[in-house]
Amino acid sequence: MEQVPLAHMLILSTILFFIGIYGFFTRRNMITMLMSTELILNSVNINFVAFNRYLYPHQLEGIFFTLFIIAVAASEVSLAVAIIINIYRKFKTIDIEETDTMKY
Amino acid sequence: MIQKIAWMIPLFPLLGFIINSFGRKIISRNMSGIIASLMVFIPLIFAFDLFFSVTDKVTVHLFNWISAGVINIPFEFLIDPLSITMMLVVTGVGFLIHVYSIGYMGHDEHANTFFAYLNLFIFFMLLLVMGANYLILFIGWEGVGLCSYLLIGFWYKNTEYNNAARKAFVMNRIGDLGFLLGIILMLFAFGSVNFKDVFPAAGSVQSGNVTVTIITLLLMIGALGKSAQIPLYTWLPDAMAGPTPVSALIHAATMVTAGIYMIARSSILYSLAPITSGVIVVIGLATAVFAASIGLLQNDIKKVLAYSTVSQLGYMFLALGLGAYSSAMFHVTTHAFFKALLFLGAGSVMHALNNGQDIRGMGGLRKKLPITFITFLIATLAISGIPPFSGFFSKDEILAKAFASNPSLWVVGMIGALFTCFYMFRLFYLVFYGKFRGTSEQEAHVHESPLVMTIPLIVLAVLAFLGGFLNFPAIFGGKESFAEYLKPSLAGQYYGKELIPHQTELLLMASSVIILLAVIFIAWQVFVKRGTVPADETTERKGLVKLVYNKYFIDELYNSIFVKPYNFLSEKVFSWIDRVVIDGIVNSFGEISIICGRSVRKLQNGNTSFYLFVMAWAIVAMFIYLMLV
Amino acid sequence: MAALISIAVFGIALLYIELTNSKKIQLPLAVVGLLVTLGLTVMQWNHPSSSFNNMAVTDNYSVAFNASILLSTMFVVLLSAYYYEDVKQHVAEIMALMLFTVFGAFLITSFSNMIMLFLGIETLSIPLYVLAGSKKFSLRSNEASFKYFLMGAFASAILLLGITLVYGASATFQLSAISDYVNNTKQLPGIFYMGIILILVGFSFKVAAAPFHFWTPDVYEGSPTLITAFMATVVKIAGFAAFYRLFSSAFSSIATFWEPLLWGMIILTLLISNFAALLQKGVKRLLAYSSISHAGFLLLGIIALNKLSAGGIFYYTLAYSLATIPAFGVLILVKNHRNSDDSIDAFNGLAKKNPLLAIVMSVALLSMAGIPITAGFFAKYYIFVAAIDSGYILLTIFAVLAAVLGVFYYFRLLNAMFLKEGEAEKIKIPVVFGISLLITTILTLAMGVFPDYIIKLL
Repeated sequence: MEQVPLAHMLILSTILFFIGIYGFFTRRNMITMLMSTELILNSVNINFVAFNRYLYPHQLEGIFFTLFIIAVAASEVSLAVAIIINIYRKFKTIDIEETDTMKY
Repeated sequence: MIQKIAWMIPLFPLLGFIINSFGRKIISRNMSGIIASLMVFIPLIFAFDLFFSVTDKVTVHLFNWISAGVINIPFEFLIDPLSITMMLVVTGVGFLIHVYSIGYMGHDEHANTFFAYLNLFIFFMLLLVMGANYLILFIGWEGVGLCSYLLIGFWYKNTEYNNAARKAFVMNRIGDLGFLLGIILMLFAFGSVNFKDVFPAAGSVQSGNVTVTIITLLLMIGALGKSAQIPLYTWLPDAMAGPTPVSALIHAATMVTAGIYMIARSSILYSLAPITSGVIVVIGLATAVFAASIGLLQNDIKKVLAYSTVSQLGYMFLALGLGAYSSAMFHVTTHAFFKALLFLGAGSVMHALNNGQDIRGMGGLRKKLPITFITFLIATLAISGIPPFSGFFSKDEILAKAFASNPSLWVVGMIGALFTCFYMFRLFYLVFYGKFRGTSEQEAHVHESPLVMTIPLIVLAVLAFLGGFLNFPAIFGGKESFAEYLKPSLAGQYYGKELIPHQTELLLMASSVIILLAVIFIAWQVFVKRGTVPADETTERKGLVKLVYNKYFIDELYNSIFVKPYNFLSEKVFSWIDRVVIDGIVNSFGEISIICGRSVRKLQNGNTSFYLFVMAWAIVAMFIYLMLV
Repeated sequence: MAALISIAVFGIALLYIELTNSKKIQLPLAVVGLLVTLGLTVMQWNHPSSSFNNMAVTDNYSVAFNASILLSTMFVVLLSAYYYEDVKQHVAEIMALMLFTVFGAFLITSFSNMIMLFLGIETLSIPLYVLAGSKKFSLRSNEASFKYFLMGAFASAILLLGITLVYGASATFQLSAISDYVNNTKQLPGIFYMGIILILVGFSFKVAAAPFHFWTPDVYEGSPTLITAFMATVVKIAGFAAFYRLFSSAFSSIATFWEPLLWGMIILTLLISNFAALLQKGVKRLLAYSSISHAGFLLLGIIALNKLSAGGIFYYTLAYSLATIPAFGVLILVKNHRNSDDSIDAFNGLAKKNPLLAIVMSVALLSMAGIPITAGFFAKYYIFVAAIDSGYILLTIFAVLAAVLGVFYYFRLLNAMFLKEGEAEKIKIPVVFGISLLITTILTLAMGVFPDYIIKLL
């Protein structure tokens, strides 16, 4: 089987990254923004694994880092969902532009 | 022995501050005043001890303060004639004013806080004059500024006083900024801010060196703020909002002379910077005359004295600019005596009149306040420069140096002296002579102040009378012992030189005395004679006296020479400069800041997406930078 | 290592105490935990060691910063006894979360591997997201929590991307190996530089430097006041310790590349924070902007990058913490007394009836403003000296100007306390609260008079 070149991997991760960033700017729903964070983190994960596999196949550091990121991301998400639920109970909305009581 | 004494000197006022502030509730008002006075009296004794035992420079090392890399700043005190002189002035005059305050502030419910602040002020002032490097000096400098701010706003119920405190604060910050930059630049140029490192290093620098000129200019800006010179003088008259003993101690005798002290201390640097010295001469002379002219028309007793202080500080600056550092210090000393006395006397008058400050509401007080009257007279004679009172010697010394440098400086300086003499006697006559013009209620209340207030007045009066003999000039067979005493501390181009021929000097003195006496006489005619016996206008008089006495002539003269132009100048032009130009500059800085603040605040609009957006663009900008390099 | 385990064990123990619902031993347990950890930390002084396969090193640098973190946490915990007095449940949880934050802080003061850095930052941040939202029924607290989370996650992601790029170029996470790589490679690849920029951004976010500071005012304002004090101190100390450790070891030999970026950020930070602070009405928000401006000054220590930097940053962060905690402490008392009004006007006339509070607050503010005989003066002094030593004269002059501007808004508060009239009543000061305030004040003054003992440590 022909191997997928590294460049393709990096392009994939970059695309994912910018989709995530785009989501951050355009979406107003907190859950969607949370999903955007996940996209960015996953693009980083792909980066790590790709670099490790293609450039430095003799070591496993990058892959371990990915495991840590996945674990931490999971805990972040559970926390964020808890906060969002709490906000929904108070504001009756999860629109990011309506939660701007503090400014200036 | 010196080592043991020196560090205790500032410690006692600090102790007094701690006792008075923590025991605010427990200690009675009088007790608090006594403690505070005692804590200034003990350092005074120590200072005398140092005065008799130290004739050269002694550095007292306390502990290693800051050592960062190559920079090493120990916490040291420098005991030399210059610092001892200042210590004596600060603790001596300070002690008398503390005692006076026991009587003056006795009725105030916050008297204990007042004494705590006063002690704190003395502590910082002593740090300022004793520090052996610019950093300790700066700490004292900031500390006295803080105390001044707190004490001006002491009666904080009045918003006007509050604003005065803030104005003083702002003006001083501008000066301090210059000072701080000067110190930083010095650190950079000499690698140290210790006196014992900087001054010898400066010895090898060429006169007119650019770095030294910039350093001295920056330090000078600090001195302009602290010592209330053009253009940073307007805070001082406003600072009179504070209690009168504060005006006497901080805004006349000690703190405002800190700028003079600092320049005298740095005399080695200043003698290497002719440009800076020239600037100082111009500013000093301009301030001396300008402030004196404003004083001519003020009707608030403390405002007159405030402008007079600004004007006298101008003379000290003039002396510094001419390189006559010991003359400046001499005037600092005598000025501390007579100006403190004037303020305390004014305080005594205000005390008698239930805080009336308008001289139009006074008059005829000499019978009712005999001690205040006599001591005030001595001080007035001293500030006017009438021999043999102290002010004569010190002011004459400065004017003689000015003459030696350029006769036109003498002429301008003399005009300022005439103004000074005139407004002081105007004040004096209006307060103590004529009929009482206040309310009948006040008249019934008028009484001489208690002993605790009059004794300091008497002691200061003796000092104001005799202070001049400290530096009895060579022309009368004196040894100029004050100048000789200060010699180890100052760079002096004047030592051992006869500047102007004795004949000329005598002539100058005689002419100035005659002119001054004439001014006093005119003032007498205007404010006493004309005020008391209006019918005398028609009485037959002869010659010059007739001309001077003539109502039309005097009115016209007074009107056309003093009133109209000065009404115009001081109400229109000077106050316009004061209000529009100087306040305008200060205010516009504030406004620009506020406008910037408003626009910056708009960025913080509470919207998370917007924040993320800005962050992303910042990252993009950084990548653009990456592509460029 | 022992300190790390100790803090984690005590944190977990506190959670179990929560189950037994015995309120009385929560505070003592937390304090004992911090003291034990402090003891274990200090014992490592002058005994450098490494742990986790050389992924974390304990040297004097990390010991000093850890001790200062523990000290700050201790004061915050002491204040919490009163702050959460009326709250019926979950106080032990809050203390436990604080200890976990400290755990994360320990990791990032002593990391020598990027994995540790990432884990440390996340362990530091995740409990903070919860703490920011710990006032469950307050809108603002929830809003602050979510804003903090969202932007924090964004910044973490940026930091991670930076780490992957550096890894892609250098094949290692170990700081010493990255440093070797930089020194031995003639032409560094573009992705390495991109990685550095992204890591710089991640750190700038954590320490709240402009233009990545936007979260700070909102989050500081919305969070419970005590938590704000905690964030402002512990996070800042740890963040700067890590920032300096990374940039002085791994990236120091290409300083010419990232220093201009930092230069621009310092200017921007000082400008934005000081100007915005001028117009604030709320004291909490004012302190938030002041915290941003302190970050600006601290960055001067990093950009200086010489032998004075570490000591300067350590002294500054400690001085800043010792001023911030009492300032927020007094704010808590005043705010509670005035029905949650935290505007400057709430402080009017405080000195009259509550002189102790006014003095504590004044010393704290003077220290923040950098007025002599308080620690803050020398904090600024050392940082400026370090910067001048490295030739950043213009930048230092700018910073001095900014410091002068800063004096104005601190004095607005002093003015209100001492010179204005207000309906001041005597505020009751709880014993533990008062003692903590006094100790911090005395320490601030002591550091201001004898700065040499602290600065000599590093």
